[in-house]
Amino acid sequence: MDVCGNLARAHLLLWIVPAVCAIFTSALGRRLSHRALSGLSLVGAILPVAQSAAAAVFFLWGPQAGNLGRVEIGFMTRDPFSLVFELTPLGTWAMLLCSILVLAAQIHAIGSVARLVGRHRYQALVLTVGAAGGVLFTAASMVTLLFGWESLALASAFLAGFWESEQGGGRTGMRWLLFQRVSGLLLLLGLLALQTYSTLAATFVAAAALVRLGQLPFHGWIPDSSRAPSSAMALLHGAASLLAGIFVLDRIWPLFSQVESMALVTGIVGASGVVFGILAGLQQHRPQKMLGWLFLLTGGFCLMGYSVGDPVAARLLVSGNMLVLGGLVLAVGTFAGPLFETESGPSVAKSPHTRKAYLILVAALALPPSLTFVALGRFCGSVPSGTIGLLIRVLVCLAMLTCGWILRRVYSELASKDPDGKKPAGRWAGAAPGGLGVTAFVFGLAAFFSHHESEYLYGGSVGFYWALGSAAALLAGWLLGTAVAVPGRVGKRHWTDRLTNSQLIMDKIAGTGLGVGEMVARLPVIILRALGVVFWRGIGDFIIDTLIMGTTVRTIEGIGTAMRYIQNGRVQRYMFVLVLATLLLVLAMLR
Amino acid sequence: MSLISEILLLALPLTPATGAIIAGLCPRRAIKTVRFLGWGFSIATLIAWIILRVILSAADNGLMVSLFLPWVPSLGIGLHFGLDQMGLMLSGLIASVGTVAMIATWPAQPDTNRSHVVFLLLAEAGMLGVVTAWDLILFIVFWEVTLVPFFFLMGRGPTRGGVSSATRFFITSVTSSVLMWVGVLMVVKAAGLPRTFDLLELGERLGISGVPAGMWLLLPAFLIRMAVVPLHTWFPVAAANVPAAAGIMLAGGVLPLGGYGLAQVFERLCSHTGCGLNAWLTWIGVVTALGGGVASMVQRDIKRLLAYVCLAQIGLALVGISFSGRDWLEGGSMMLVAAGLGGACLFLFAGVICEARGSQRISEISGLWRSHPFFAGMAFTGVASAAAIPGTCGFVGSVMVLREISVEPLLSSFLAGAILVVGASVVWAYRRILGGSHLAAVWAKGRWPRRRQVTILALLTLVIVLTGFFPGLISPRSFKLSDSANPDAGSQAPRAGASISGGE
Amino acid sequence: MSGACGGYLTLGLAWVPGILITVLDARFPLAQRRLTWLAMALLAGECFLSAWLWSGEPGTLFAGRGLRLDGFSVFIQGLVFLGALCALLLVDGRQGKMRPGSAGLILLSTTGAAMLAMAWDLIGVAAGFIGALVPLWGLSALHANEYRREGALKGMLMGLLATAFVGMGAAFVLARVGTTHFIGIRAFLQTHASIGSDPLMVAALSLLLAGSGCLIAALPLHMWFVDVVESLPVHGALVLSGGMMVAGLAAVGRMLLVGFLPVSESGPGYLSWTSILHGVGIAALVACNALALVQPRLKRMIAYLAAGQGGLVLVTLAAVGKISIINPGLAGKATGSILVFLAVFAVNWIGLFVAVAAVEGTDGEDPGIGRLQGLAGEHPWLAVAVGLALLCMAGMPPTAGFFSRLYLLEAMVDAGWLATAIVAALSLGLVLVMSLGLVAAMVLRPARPGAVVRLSWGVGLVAMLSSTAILLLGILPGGILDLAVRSATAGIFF
Repeated sequence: MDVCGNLARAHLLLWIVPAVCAIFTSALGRRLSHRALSGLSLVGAILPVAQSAAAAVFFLWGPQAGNLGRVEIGFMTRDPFSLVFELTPLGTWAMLLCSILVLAAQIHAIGSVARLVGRHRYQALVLTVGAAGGVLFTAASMVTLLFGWESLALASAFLAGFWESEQGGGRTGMRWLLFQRVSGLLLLLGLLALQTYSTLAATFVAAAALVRLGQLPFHGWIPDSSRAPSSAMALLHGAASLLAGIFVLDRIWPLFSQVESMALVTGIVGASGVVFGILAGLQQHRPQKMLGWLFLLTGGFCLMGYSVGDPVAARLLVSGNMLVLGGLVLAVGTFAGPLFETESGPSVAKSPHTRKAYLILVAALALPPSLTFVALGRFCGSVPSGTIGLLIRVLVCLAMLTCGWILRRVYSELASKDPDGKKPAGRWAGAAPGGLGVTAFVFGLAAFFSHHESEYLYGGSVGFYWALGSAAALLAGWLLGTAVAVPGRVGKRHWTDRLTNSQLIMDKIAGTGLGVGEMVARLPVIILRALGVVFWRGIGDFIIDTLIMGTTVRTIEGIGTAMRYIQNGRVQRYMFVLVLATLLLVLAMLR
Repeated sequence: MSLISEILLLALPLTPATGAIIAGLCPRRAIKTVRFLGWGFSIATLIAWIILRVILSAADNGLMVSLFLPWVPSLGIGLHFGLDQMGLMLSGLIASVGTVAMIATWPAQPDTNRSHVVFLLLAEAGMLGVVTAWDLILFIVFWEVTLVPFFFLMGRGPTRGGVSSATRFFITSVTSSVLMWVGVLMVVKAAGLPRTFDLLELGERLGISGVPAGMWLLLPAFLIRMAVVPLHTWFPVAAANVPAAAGIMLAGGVLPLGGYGLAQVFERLCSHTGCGLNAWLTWIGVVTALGGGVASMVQRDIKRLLAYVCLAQIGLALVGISFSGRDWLEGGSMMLVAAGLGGACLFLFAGVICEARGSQRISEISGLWRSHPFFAGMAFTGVASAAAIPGTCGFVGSVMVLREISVEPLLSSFLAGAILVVGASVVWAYRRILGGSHLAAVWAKGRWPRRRQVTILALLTLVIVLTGFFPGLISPRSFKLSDSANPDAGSQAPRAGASISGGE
Repeated sequence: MSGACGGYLTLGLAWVPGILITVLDARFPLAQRRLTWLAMALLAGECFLSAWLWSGEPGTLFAGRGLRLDGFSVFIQGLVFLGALCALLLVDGRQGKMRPGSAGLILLSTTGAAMLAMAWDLIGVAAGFIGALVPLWGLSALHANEYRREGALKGMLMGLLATAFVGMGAAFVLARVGTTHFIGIRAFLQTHASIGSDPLMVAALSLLLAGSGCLIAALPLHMWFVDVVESLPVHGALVLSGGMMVAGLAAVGRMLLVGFLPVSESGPGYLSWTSILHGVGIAALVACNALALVQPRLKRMIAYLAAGQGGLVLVTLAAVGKISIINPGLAGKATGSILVFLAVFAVNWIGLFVAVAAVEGTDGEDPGIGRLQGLAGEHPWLAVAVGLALLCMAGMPPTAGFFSRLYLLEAMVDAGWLATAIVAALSLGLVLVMSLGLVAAMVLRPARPGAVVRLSWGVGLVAMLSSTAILLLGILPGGILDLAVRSATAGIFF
């Protein structure tokens, strides 16, 4: 336990180690052999996992709870710019999840991008995501928090756009980055307003979190994100978006709970996110896109957890879903993005390993003792009784049903024959996702052992039964998907196929995030560019330069030219002017 | 100690001036000697500033060091040099920017090497004089003297547009500063007898007697140098047409210096009431920030885009200066320094790549990530500083300004929008330049960037990041807002969150 | 006694040798060089004499019938002689520049200017103008060149007419007051406070203003001046637009500030000379500088600029008239600022004519401003001198122009004329546009093919002298101001 305590106190290593490893990976990458490079990047990913796991053990079973090892870097800094780090239980929880996901992504990346140019930079970026997460989750001052927040966004943006820098692309990264600038500035304003206007501050921070979570209507980047390499996509959705957003919401929770309208708003946003996730997910053909919408769905559930006043449920949901969904993304993972892109989207890494891992993950999504099961139980238990509660629970089951259907469709994609005989992915392709699925189960068990009372775990028997129900719904969805998909394989067109074909428009709509997401992403840019033209051409060039300055210059030149015409060199005119001037002068002085 | 600091204070403007004279006396062919002299003297100035920064104790708001010599006693004009907090920050900025321009650039025509060095040193000397001058006449003298070397630096551009934009800059700013003469004379007359042009004393006297009617005559001079709306049109044109050195000096020195004049002379003389104009100035700043941001979104010329980005930052600084009616404007001055450093970094980067690529159109520059990852990667700090991303001085300045005006939610949200827009456009341009490898072959042959350019950019990057994390490095004293009862805003939220999660 | 000697010396030393030199020069062309040297020696002697006279306390050194030698006159005379000396230095030993007799004529015209500086009487003013102008007509007519003769003719006709007006005004004054002596006029006006009921006096004043205004090229009577400056050779042009301009402005100032001070504000039924000068000066500031802006040739441009600077002085004169009423304590300083401006003006014009002398072709045509292109490339130090002169004219620090113009603006502000001060300041911007164009042409443009720059040791010496003076007066502006204030108080507000 002392070891764990000391490890927890040395929490600066949580971000220093990955950062240093990232620097070395990126600097030495070209010279190192593949094995050495992988080793280096794995070290940077594994150590934080170990350390945060130790810290978690310390917090769960250690002598005392509470914050640990406050480190304040005061040299030459300035309030509010002092860098303060501190390990909180919440931070430990987030850090553990983040580092696990980073580790999985790193393993996947090592396998998937092994043969590509610049792979060392990619792996360094993966480590950077880990380091940024470390800073964010151990932050104890405004600047540290913002720094972690922004650097996490930046790193994942670079990661998402990494292989796209060739074609006009990087659009994924760019759009995500723009949304995250918005969220970062909202967070900044919120933290600045914290002292004076607490309501305003809560609103700002909540808005920042919503933008970060990609909830409606800020989901414009989600369809794009599927073009990223799968390890990048997993990190983007799991660590950078879901985990960070929920983390910040959690920190603002006390303020948040004071503002009464907030619960309602988040509830509505969350519910609409869930519904939209269901609809959009069903419309997609590319597995990546389907899973992307499932992340949106999860975020919606978390928000609903907050709105029903149970942050713990939200946290549990995040933990479980982030592991499982991240694993799923990795399992259907592509090789690095567009380099292997086929007509029907990124081709899937088909191999028995991935299929096994996929099944484990699907099981981990609902079956006890998985963490997701616990989370669903807690959530269903904590929703208020009555019609609303009933509706919410039904919504949960519906969502699980859809998940089952979607996952089945993905699986059929996964199991189908390869169009071009690409050689199947190696063992690594199954290792990372399978590991994540197992982790989900392990954490569920850990939850059981850490808190025995069932009230805490899954809101009593009600929650337990509803959780079972949702598991059943998932199973039903899976079977439904099978039923629909099986006839589809033989040539005869099935009604669902016809449905999907006639729904290409719907597909497009879903791809653009019901149009709303696209609009939210594009419209401001269009308006701003128009304003820019007005400011640059209209005000600057025309009014100020042409009208004002030009007129002045011409006036002066005109005076000069006119005087030159008066003075034509004839002396009699000069004399005339003299006499005239004298007369006028006399008259003037005489009045 | 005080003697040393006084000597160093005088050394700030005098070192580059001496260097200019010596370099000017060198034979024209001795290019190496001249360049060596230029480097030596600009670095010496920087070192002098560093020593000053170390030995100067962060006193109260008054001058940390000052030196008075009689000049025209019959008129109450004296050589009054001094440095206060803001002066210290700005002089550091100018010394470093001057060094950057001196080491990282050289003229297009090799035969103008000597005059290039001489004019750069003269410009640096003039700007440092402006910062250290505490007598209005001395201030005006340096203020005007700065223009002459700038005219030649800008005029030596690759295009004929250089000459015209230089002329335009020169004429507009001189016209505005002769108005300033009249304003100063009005002020001195209003301050009563015995005549004095000493800034501090005038400020005190006017604080009692009230500001004269002609006070507004001081404004145009500063606003034109700051290039704020509606007097901004000279800057983007100039930035697009002048050579790299002039671009660096303009963005890094001249614009912040205008803000310095506004804060130190105008605001001080009307005892920080802005004689009723502060509200207008704040809104001008907001409009400048927003306008610069949106205008930068539609630019296709990289230097013009960067010019509008600098414009937006200067607008932020103007808000910081004019909004905070306090006697020590940390937000404004920090933003000025941030704008200067970031602008210098960006213009250095743009100058180098445009020279190597032979074009300024963003669409024609690309593939830098594949050809020069290190050089391109370092320039990201400038981009991040312009986008106010944490860990850069731009973030520090923006936060300070936003924090000062956080009592006005409307203004602060406007400014946040401006920051967002600027960040978007500059990041977009940066990504366009870095992305794409199919054009990587058309970069100019030969060794570029030179080693010294990379070194300077690396140092600049270091400074931007260090000041981003440790603002105390350049401004020795904490500022009033935080001295007053305003505890750390950020740490509240984490504590709250921790208590929740810790409770389980 | 020394004063009397000084008084006669300053005139005599120049007058008599002037005639002799002219005659001899015309008679024996071969001795021209030596005679020029003699003239230069005389002028140098005059300069030293002025300095020596100044060494004492600049009270009244000598007061003749219509002439008065005091600090004021000595100050102005020094400038005039310096200008003439430099004019001769500029053209010494240049083929085709010096016509036989021109050195002597310069000397004579300088005498006239010196007389203007000493004038203490309306007749003295008229005589001074004529004395300064006549030799210049001769100088212009010496050249067997069509447009030069035309210039001479114009100058003669206009000069005679203007002087006639001055004389007429003097006659009216004599008829009304009984004397043309400044002091007498002032005493009369102090007793008869308002001249609104006195048309003769008003007519006299307006005639004096018109005539002298024409002679100092006040708008709109500046046209002849420009033509004559263009037609004159370099040294003549310098003496006219530099020396005589300074002396004329000083004389008019003394006439108005000593003689007509009591009527310096408008009363019932008449408009004061201050408001006339005010209006004319502002008009000149705008129009003449704008005209200079559109000139393609150097000498014409410089002439228009001289008229514009004259406008600056006229406005300040008006301001001094106002100040001496509202705040007499500041009047001396304000007048001193005018003297400082005149001194800087003289030095500045010497510097400008260095450029003219350097780039002027053998034909003696007025060189186009394009001739200055690329001067910095060939002759950097000459370019530095010319550039300093140009920037000084626009009032850029650290040249002397900055402080001199600052003093004038201060006088206007003291008079409470904010708008006027703003216009005057903006006119500096106008001047700057043009001087900047020339500087840019010198430094940033390549030299024109076939453009020949002719340097002699004289040109180099004058360039060095003028630029040193410009820089010195700019960096140490205190001494000359005290000097000027003392001479102003000695010469006007005694």
